[in-house]
Amino acid sequence: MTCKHSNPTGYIFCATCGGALEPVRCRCGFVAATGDIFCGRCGTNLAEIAAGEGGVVANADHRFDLEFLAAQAAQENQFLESTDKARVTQDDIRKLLTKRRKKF
Amino acid sequence: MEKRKARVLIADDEPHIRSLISLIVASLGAEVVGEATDGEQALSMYKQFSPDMVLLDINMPKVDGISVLKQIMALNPRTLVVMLTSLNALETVKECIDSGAWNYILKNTTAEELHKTISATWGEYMAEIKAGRAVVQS
Repeated sequence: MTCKHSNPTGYIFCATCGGALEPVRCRCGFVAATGDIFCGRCGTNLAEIAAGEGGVVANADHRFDLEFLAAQAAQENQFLESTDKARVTQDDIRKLLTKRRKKF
Repeated sequence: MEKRKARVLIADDEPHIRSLISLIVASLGAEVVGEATDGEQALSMYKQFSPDMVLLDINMPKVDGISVLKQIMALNPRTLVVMLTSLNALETVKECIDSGAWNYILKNTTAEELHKTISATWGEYMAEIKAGRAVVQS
């Protein structure tokens, strides 16, 4: 924050200039420095994140939260695996048909 | 009783697929009575020709193949409908089989494999006819 405005306790963003008063973790996993308005990694407006998700405050010493990123990666893998499982081959269809063959 | 060739309707918006399937069907000794380029035309041709077998694509203009399948089954549940598509989602396969499709053939394969699968499906259907569980419509 550069405007020198005095904000009340509990404020995450400056009421005058919108700068972060505490470090905020962006959706991409990057932890912005105090005073940053936009994420230095992906350019997301940090105030929007705070408004939408309640603002995740993190330790500024850890620019990337590895635990958060690992959880995100695991979630993505789980989704990809479930998508793979939902795809079938001609052999799978043959097996399925054997079970469910329509009777005339 | 005079035997006649089984009549087949092909519905696919891709001309090269229709040509290929036409050749395969002819090699099996059946007659292609119509080639529809969209779902609406497929339904119209089905009503006009009452084919014994319908080879049906899913992704087609105007009316999709699953809707066509359901309407055909409502008109005549004894029709042999074989889905012929690139869609390999389990949900889609299940929906087609539950809606009355006799088989579901993935067309993103070689022409040889496609011929083999259609031949096998045709063989199964003929066996059903011989066993009296299916009939060639008159």
